[in-house]
Amino acid sequence: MLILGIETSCDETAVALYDSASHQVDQLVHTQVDIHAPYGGVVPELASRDHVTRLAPMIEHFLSERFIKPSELDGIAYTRGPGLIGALMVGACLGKSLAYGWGIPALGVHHIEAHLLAVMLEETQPDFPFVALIVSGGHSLLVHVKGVGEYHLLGETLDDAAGEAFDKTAKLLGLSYPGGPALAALAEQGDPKAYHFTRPMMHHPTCDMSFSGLKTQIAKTYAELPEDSCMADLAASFQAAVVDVLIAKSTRALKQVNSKRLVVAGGVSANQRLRRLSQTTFKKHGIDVVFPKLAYCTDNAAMVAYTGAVRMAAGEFDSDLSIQPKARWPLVDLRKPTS
Amino acid sequence: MHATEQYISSPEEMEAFGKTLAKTLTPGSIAYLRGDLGTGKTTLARGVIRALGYTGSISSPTYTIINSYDTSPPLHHLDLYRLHNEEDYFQSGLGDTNVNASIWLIEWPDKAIDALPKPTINIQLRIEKEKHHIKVTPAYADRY
Repeated sequence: MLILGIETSCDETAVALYDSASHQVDQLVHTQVDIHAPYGGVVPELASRDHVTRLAPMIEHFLSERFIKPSELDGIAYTRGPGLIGALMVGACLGKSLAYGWGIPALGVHHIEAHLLAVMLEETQPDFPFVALIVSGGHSLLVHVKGVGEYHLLGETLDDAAGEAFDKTAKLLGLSYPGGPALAALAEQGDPKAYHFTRPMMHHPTCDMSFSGLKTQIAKTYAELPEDSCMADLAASFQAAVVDVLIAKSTRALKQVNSKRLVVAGGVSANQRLRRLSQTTFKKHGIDVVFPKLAYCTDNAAMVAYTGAVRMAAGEFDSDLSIQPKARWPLVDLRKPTS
Repeated sequence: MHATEQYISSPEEMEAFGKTLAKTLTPGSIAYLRGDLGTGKTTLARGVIRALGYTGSISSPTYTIINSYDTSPPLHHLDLYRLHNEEDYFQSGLGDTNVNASIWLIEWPDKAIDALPKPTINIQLRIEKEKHHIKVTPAYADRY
């Protein structure tokens, strides 16, 4: 099965191909695109409706460069939600229209389910069930994944996402937004014990998280700091607090469902401290931790193509031509693939 | 109604303040929330949304830009932090959101102020000596 995947849920415009027979995936994300390319132009920082001008030429270019004819495709998977409604609308309209024109089925995919299953694009795939920690600019949640479509939400952020906390703290410390990765790099040079920030909700008996208060703590500490203070220490202490919470909550989630397998996905999974501490902490307790490749951690279309392929293989397709993106779409509303 | 000022010392108090504020909001109310990162805008918004009876999770709209709640009246919680200008506002499709019969809470309104519906209430937050200071000004009071 050769599936074309389309992702336009927020800032990234991305297309990908997934071939279930060879388990090969190939993808194109707009930020990798040379701006002088025929479909290029200046890439705005906030894509949204700009997906309109970019998506169709991107698909055309992507397929023709690989000598793939539409007749070779078995289906089109697009992100149906959750996300920014205007952005989702573009992918849904174009995805369904192309599928109709090419006479192949289309399927709207859940963005978070796609993140959960991104790890399946690796050569060695973890067995179900596992616990997934998804941490990005827009999401922070812990999910018990028993199989495709069998998700139980264990906990989530009650306010800011972990990546958002990184980006905003970076801004508070004078780095440009979104400065999460720059803040993490700065943190690597600092002393994580230099300042003590409380770990929000770390000892609450739930898997829910909260990062908004941490931002307020940083703002207050920063305001009272002598001018020659070491910013790296502040960054490191902040990062230590976030990572401690993520590890503590993942540990709690694993215990709660008696699981020995953790999958970490989302942009924040690139964080070096999170990776280091996960490996050492969980290994001690005999827990396997898997991080998908970074290209599949951030928003991408490969995971959308894969998720679409799995569900379409089970006979699930959009039943009509209506365009129905969903800005809000709880993950737990999903079911096992059905025809 | 005149401007009111108040000091808040915990997130719980901030949420409670939001619940009280909700009583003054009616369909068509547009609240601009101004204040630096970490001053409590989203926490205040959570109080308002809870007061309307919403029990699900309420997270920051910074990434999503708009979170809409199917409450009565419906509420739109916007955060324009990631926008650069009015063009971004329209590009995001936010211009299509229905203003009538709903309550709007808008964080970082100045990022695209000319594209926004006019406020009925202005809320300013800042941190002052460990406490959060809130100033609420009915919009018409700005003009007189």
